Amino acid sequence: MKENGKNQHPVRVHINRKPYETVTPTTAAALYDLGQIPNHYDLFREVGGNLEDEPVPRGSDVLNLKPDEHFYSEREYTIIVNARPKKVTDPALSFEQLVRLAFDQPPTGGSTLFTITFRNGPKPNREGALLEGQSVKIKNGMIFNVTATDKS
Amino acid sequence: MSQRPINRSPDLKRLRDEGYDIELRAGYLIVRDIPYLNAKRAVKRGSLILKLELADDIAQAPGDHTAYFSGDYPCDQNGNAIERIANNSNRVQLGDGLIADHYFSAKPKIPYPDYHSKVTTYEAILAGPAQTVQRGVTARTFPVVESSEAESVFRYVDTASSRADIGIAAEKLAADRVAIVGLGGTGAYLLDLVSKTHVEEIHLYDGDMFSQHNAFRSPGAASGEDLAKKLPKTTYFATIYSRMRRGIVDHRRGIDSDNVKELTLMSFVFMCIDNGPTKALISQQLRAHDVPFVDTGMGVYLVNSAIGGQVRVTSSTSERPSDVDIGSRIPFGESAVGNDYSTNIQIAELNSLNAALAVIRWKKMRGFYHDFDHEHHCTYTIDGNVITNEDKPKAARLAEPSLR
Repeated sequence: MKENGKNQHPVRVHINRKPYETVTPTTAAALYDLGQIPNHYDLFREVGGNLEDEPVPRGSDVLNLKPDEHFYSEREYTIIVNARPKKVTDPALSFEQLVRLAFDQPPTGGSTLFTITFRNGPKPNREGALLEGQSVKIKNGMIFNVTATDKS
Repeated sequence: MSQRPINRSPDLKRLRDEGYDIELRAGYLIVRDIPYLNAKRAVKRGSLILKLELADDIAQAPGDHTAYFSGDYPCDQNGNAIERIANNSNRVQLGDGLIADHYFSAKPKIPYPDYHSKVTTYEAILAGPAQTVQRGVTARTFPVVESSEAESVFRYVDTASSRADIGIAAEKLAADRVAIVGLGGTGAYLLDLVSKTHVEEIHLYDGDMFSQHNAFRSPGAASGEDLAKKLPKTTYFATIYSRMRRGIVDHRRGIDSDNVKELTLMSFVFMCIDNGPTKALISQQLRAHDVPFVDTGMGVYLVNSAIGGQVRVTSSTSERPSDVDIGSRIPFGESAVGNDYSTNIQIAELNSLNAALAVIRWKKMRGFYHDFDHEHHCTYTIDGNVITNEDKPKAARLAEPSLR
């Protein structure tokens, strides 16, 4: 699918380390097609330095590509955290990551102790409780609860 | 009247547990409220008076098949006297204020093996005709069975444990002197449960007043008058539960650094407070003095107009595994205020569940319940109805329950 010809010029990008010739500006949908990204996978745009890589959502957003830019796709998981579905791409999540997923404004300073329980996890850890500092492998449909348990 | 001979004699205990109104006096077993039909075919109630032999406070087999009776002469469904049991109708004084009007003789094919058999046989003869006039009339009236201070911590006998014959398990809790710190929702339900056990003393610590919103997270049903009194929580609850048993101590204050040492005199402590630093203070003192305790807490959220969250019970005993710091299970920090991760939602059934889990944990430590895993941390997750168990000691199974 090509964008209306105006102002487009050819560019080479890399998707999952394979080179592709395409044009810029293009759309996200076009890029997904180009790299033949399967369902349940998301594209990410590699960003240099210490910054997190930028997700490229499926859709008709216009994308400006730079020469030899790198894109890669990862498995996306949908998990439930405190009754809300969350999409993550890490195959394992740490205690701290789960706290950030659970709350828009997580506490700072680490003085609030959370209790985290989970179920529907992958074998051998189908269900249990997580300790600070621990991580747990995740799978689609895994259910987490993250709360402080200090009310009596 | 001492319950000792009744507790020690299986037939007498059975009569009491089945609801008969029995009394031991002057060497006789008296069974009251036996329904019978008089000559006018009216249902009346009389008392059977049976000679009782005790040896070392245990009832012996009935010496004969006779019985005294206090009341009118019992009749059949037509109003005719039941002749076959007649012996004589001389009024006699049996001693200690006991007076009998009639003397019966209902001879069984084999001698009565015990008093349960003798009483129920006489009851059937007398009450049968009465039941043709008034269906279901029975001598099993379940009267209140009082108990004396020396015998029991309760003001009336624990006939529940007696009827279920779990008295021997129930006695395992008698030695405890427990404290409940915090009489909020969970603490109140904890008191409701612990007060019904045989523990010697229950010490209540809380500095707050019992207010209207507390009524919705407490067992029972506070009246408007109760709320208007603005009583301290400890006083409100101590008054109610002292109706049932002795040994409830109303401290009228919470725990702080001035009085935390009092808790080291307890044999077990239940923590049901919100304040993290106070939990830390108590935990540190109790662990230093080897006093076992259980900490309760819950965290509940409202998402998409429905409620979810977790309920937690964490224990400390001498066998708590050392590889998990108790500070990573119990929140010792200052509670965060006004953020979405620290809501104040609490709901009665969740408080009740939290209390029930804590009581079960404590009773396991005392050997009342079987306990193979000795988990020292437990969570209940609402949205999946799941209980997780963590912090188990390395030994797969320990022979002794953990005692102070």
